[in-house]
Amino acid sequence: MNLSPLAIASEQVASRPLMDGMTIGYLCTYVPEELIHAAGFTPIRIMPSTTAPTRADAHLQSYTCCLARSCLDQALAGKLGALAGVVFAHTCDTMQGLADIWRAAFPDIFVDTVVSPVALNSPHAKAYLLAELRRFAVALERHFGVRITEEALRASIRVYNAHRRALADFYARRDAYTAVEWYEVMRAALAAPPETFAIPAPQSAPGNRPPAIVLVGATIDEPTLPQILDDLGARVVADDFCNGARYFDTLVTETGDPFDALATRALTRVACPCKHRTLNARAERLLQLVRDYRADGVIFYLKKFCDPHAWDYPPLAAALDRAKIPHLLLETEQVAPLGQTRVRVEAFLEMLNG
Amino acid sequence: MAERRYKKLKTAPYLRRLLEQHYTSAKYFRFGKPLAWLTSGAPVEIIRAMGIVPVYPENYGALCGARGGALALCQTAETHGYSPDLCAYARSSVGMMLDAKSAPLGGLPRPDVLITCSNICGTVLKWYEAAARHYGAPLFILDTPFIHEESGEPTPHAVAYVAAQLEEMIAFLEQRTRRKLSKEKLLETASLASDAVNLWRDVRELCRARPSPLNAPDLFLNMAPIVILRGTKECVQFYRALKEQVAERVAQKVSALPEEKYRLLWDNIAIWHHLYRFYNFFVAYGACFVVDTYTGGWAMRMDGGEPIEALARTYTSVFLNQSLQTRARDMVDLVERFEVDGFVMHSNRSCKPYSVGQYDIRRIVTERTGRPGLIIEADHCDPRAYAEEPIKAQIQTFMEGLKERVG
Ligand code: SF4
Ligand code: SF4
Repeated sequence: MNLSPLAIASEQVASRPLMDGMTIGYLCTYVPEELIHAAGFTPIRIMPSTTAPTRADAHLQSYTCCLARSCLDQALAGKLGALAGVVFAHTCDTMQGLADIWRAAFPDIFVDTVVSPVALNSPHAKAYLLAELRRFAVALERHFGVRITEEALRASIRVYNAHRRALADFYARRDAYTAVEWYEVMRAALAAPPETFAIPAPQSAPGNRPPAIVLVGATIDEPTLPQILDDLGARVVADDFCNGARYFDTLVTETGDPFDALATRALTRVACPCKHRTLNARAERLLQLVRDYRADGVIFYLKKFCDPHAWDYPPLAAALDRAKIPHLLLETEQVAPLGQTRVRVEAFLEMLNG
Repeated sequence: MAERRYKKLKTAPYLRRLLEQHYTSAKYFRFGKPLAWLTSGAPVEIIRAMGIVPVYPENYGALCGARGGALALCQTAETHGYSPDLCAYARSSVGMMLDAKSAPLGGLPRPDVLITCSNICGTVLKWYEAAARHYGAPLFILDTPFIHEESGEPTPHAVAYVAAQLEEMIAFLEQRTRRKLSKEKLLETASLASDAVNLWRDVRELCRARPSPLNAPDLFLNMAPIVILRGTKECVQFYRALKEQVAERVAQKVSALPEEKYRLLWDNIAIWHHLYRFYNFFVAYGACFVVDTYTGGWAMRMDGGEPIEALARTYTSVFLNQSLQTRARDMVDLVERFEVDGFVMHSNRSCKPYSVGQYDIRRIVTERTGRPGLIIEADHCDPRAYAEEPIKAQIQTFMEGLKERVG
């Protein structure tokens, strides 16, 4: 697949800051970027590549997700440049194990996990998370000999709020972009310093695309599915990806104690399936997205060996069935197999159009 | 199930009776007491002290695995959209919820409350959410933050968080079951639990003897009461009888195996569906698993002091809630104290928290102790993930290597 001019631009942005030793990689949006930024670093989300992992096989079993394997593999191959540190947040069992593997493999850099709470509904989660964020801030300060001043933290919060607002605004104008362009903008947005990132103008006019689709999954890492949707004429109107709409759905309050504000955001933003708010929060939100965006169908785009999302699939599918909303399950390892995925998506879209 | 090729324990019928009693009384003789489903790492002391009857879906999963019923249950769950890559204990359990009639023992009784504790894995959160949806029973999540700290100690804010949740859990249970927790009863239950835990630790320590009085499957089978009956008098009595018998074997230099030539360490959950068949391959070489990391998970220290804080600390510090660095350190300690010649790790595709990191742990343990480690890919409960021929070949190569080293 040829990269569009927009993709090439975003790849360049993505690779620039990695080389200066002032970049800290992170693996999950529960990591408080604002704290890393306020410590003087550029936080960059590490995302899987499309190259099959080889070096990671010495550390991770074949039954772990491709996200974990590919991210580690790139680091072992030296493809992530001179990262000053890598930060994890507690989510699934694989990430939990990967954090320690990373620490063992790279003993000379800063590796830390923000052990965020699982029970978001616990009345005690807030106090715990506040203390954990403070511990993390102190760990950064000690390791790098820096100070995270309240002023700097407030400034960083404003920077990331502006970044998230820009993305929300981009989502509101999404109809002008193709699905591939949407994917590329999101990918670049998480791999670039927010100060220099600007949302590019649409490059190609999307055609008339009646079926409106909601995508659900952990992350979207490569453009095969968006490309197929563009080719077949369908619109992605909303998503529930960790590197999609879930990234910017809630802003951090800019007044009051900044740590408190960060903790509040983490606890109130749309939850990922590794966390618990209520039993049916995810199903309710999915139905809401379908209603709000007048979607015709839902595509689950899941990663093989991703337990949390696999667990949520049956109850989400059942909720859609009850509401008579058609859905399709695609499970892929690293790169969606083009032919097979196309055939299945085509059949699904035909059903929606029929 | 294949026959074992080594000595049986005299307490085996006692154990069987105890477990049968547990399941039948939970199902048929509860006398109006409420029933809780509990994860193996949940603080049962509180549940028991309140007169709530606990049952353990994980233990039930192991039972299904050992009796051969797990496969059909897993397949039932899979036809309802549950991925075959999910933990097979959980998949069996979901299969049992969907079709209790065809499940071993007619399935587990319906829960009145569900208590899930995150200290063993992320799976139990999703599994108990599924149970809560299915039965409409109220769910309590005890969130025990994972310990990445090199010290292996939970952070002070983690302990405070867990202690506060334990208080909340008590209030939740009091409200849902209309029972009160008395502090005396809690102390009594905690002290019974602590007695059993100490006796079980003694039993495991007795296996430092040469020859070892027990082989790993003995440990796997005899750990059931420490999980499901912890905090009862029956549990303490059982471990007293077991310890007496094991101590007698040690005094008389009775070996678990016909002849102990090699001493090994086992890592991860047992391969329940091929229990004797699998371990017999090692028996044939005179290799005895004298210690393991799995059954030691329940030989945890019950700290003294304020009971709620002690429970918070104990339950947050269980080994599956510890970093691979801490687990490697613990394994090095076992290798040295039990004087093993090598170790075997079961890379268990069901259990990611236990298995992810094993490749690094093997490297670290070998670097620090010079003992070789073998990794076997299988599954504790789903027999489809067990390829016997390659496994046999791997064991042969490993044992021949060991023979050259040890003689
Ligand atoms: S949540 Fe899923 S995709 Fe993300 S790291 Fe865990 S297993 Fe992989
Ligand atoms: S994933 Fe592991 S710890 Fe969790 S329920 Fe399954 S076997 Fe037990």
